Amino acid sequence: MFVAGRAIGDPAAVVLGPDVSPEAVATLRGNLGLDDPLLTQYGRFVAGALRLDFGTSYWQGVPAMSLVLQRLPATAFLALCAFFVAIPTGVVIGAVAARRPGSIIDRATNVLSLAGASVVEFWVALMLIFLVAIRIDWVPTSGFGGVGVAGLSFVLLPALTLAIRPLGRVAQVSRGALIEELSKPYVKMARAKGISERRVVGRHGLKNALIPIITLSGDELTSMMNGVIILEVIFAWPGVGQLLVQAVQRRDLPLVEALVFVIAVIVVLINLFVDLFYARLNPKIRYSGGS
Amino acid sequence: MSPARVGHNEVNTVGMRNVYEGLVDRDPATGELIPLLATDWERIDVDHWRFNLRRGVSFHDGTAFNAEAAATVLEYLWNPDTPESIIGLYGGPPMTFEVVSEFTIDVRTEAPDPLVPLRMYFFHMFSPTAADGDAATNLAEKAVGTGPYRLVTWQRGQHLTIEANPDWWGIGDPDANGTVAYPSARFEFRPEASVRASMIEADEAAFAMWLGPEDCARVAALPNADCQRSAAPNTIFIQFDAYSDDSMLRDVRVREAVTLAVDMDLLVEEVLSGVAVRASQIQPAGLAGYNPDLSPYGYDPARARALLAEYVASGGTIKPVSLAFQQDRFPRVREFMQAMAAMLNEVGIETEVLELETALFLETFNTGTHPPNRIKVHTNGNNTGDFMSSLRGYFGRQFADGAPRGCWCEDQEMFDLITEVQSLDGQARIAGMQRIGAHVHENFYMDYGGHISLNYGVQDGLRWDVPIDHAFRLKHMSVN
Repeated sequence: MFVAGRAIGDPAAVVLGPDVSPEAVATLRGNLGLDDPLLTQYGRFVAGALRLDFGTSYWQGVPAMSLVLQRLPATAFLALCAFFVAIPTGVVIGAVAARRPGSIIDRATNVLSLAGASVVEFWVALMLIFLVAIRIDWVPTSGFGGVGVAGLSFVLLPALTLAIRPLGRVAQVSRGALIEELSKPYVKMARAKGISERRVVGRHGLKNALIPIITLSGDELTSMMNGVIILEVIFAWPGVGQLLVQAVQRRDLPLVEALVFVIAVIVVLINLFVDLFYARLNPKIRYSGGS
Repeated sequence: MSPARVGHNEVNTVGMRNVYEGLVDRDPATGELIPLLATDWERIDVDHWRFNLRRGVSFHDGTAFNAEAAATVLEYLWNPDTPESIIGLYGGPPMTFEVVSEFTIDVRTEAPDPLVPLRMYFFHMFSPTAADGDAATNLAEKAVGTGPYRLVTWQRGQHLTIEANPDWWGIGDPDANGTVAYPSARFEFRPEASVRASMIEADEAAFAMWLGPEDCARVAALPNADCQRSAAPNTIFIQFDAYSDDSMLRDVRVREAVTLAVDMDLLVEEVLSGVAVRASQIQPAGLAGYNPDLSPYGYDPARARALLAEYVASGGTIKPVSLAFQQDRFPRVREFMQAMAAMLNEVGIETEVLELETALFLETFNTGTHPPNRIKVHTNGNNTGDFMSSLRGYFGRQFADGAPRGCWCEDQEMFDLITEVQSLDGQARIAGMQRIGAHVHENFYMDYGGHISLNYGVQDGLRWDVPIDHAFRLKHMSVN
């Protein structure tokens, strides 16, 4: 975090803008403690981080961590909405395609999921605004209506945009994993016993195919942190992604450090959750010392 | 929210000129300084100004506006030790502020400063009680001014709402230069220009700032809205590295060759169509120091090649140059730079285009730390509307005490001219600045991409003429 913050360059050179005297820049650098030796700055950073205190934002003039925590619910809301659109839909589409490999439905699903996995989010966002918000006039073009039911009309477009790529990838992985499972002897045995196809796919095949899907879902949720950066700017969504862009543009060192810290914690928590979920899905996986 | 930022930063403080007022304002049509919270002012001596303040004015929190309050604000904003100080932005000699009577304040400067009234345009009066305690934090979060609107809500990065101030001194007063036509207004922050245009199209907004040329055309085509385009004081200019020891751009022949090699008329007409209008100098017409006798440089690649050959014959070496620009500084900047590089390559100057993110560009711009032979394309905001300030920021190595930014570092005549003109005022100052402009034009060959046009999407129900300072004041708007 300390290195990431310093990698954005000298904040004093940009905080005051282009029309300032070198003296003003030097004074600001001194006021911000940027003249201190790196070791001193690092010590200050560690001491602050232990208290979750990354200092005051140069740009906003308030504690950086409070700014991040204010923005976090909006990003979490957007990411979770997108996640719960993308993953179940992707799994269902993959399962439908896997039931009849090579059929028209399978081929169409393949093309569409590949397209979904390859789209440029920026373009999709603008197209959705044009079609859904302006032409059909169903939802607002942009903005934030709060976290919860009241905000659903606002979250629809950014969540759909954010969901398209993971949806495509999950559909493809689900299809592949399910085709592999459905070709295994235990599935043939189940079918031979007369168990319904829905039960064969849903209870047996899909459950065993879930491990790679869960792994991918965890990765997708993590990578949504990248996706939200550009989408939050387009849709004026007041989350951590937009804040990160603004903080880096302004070389707001305390804010960048606080944001990197919070994002790192989120990624660690997602990975931990995925690992724990593995064990629940597959009893053979155990993390304790037992064999 | 900070009143220190309102004067120069419409991006971060949009709408706040409705909440704060300064001692001095600008006429929206002519740009001339006009009274606002000061009723009049006079220069008592070269370093001594007197401002008479308006009576019957109060801040939104009920605190009376008087000389005491004005002095407190001015001292706070001009003090280099306060976090909100604006002295670094607007330069000028140290100033002291003295209360003469309840509604009169004197400003004394350490050196003659004819720009004191102009500087007052950038000082915005806030209630001294709002700055009690942790002043920087309070001022960043509260906005307690004297303006026609007062702040109601502010959600960082989302929106702010203001409502009409029933106690505004300007109601029915012609000196206020405007009226309150709307009971409230809500400002929604949308970083993407195309989304702002979409909000006009979807009837979500009545007004959208700074649309790109394509979005402007889209809005203009709507049945219930129009796009207003108006040249801003911002000027795209080309700056040479004439200060690095081994830069070939120190040689005036090379600078002239670079300027003549670029068909700027074509670039402005084709690439910057709807973005900028051709400029002959850094000041647009209407601002102090504009010289009507200057014409844009021509396009003469044959002459450019001849000048480069002359430079080589005299022992010089043509070196590769890097053409640096700030990402997204103005619409189509990338295409502009690529076309410019192609033209320089055409006359034999190997040119690399260097796109720098904002912070990195500003850092190299402010410190001059980059490899030699760099040509920078930047914009000058002409914030103060006075050519001398532009000189200080962008042209002056000696003038700006060591910052290696200019290209006249070894020009004694230029230095003498600036020294002579900087303490003048009135017509003498304007004439002096015009002489400096002519000297820059004839000796440095800094070309100007154009004065940037700013586009505003306006729905038919709203009437607004773009003021010369492009500041967004509701008092200038009315129902159509």
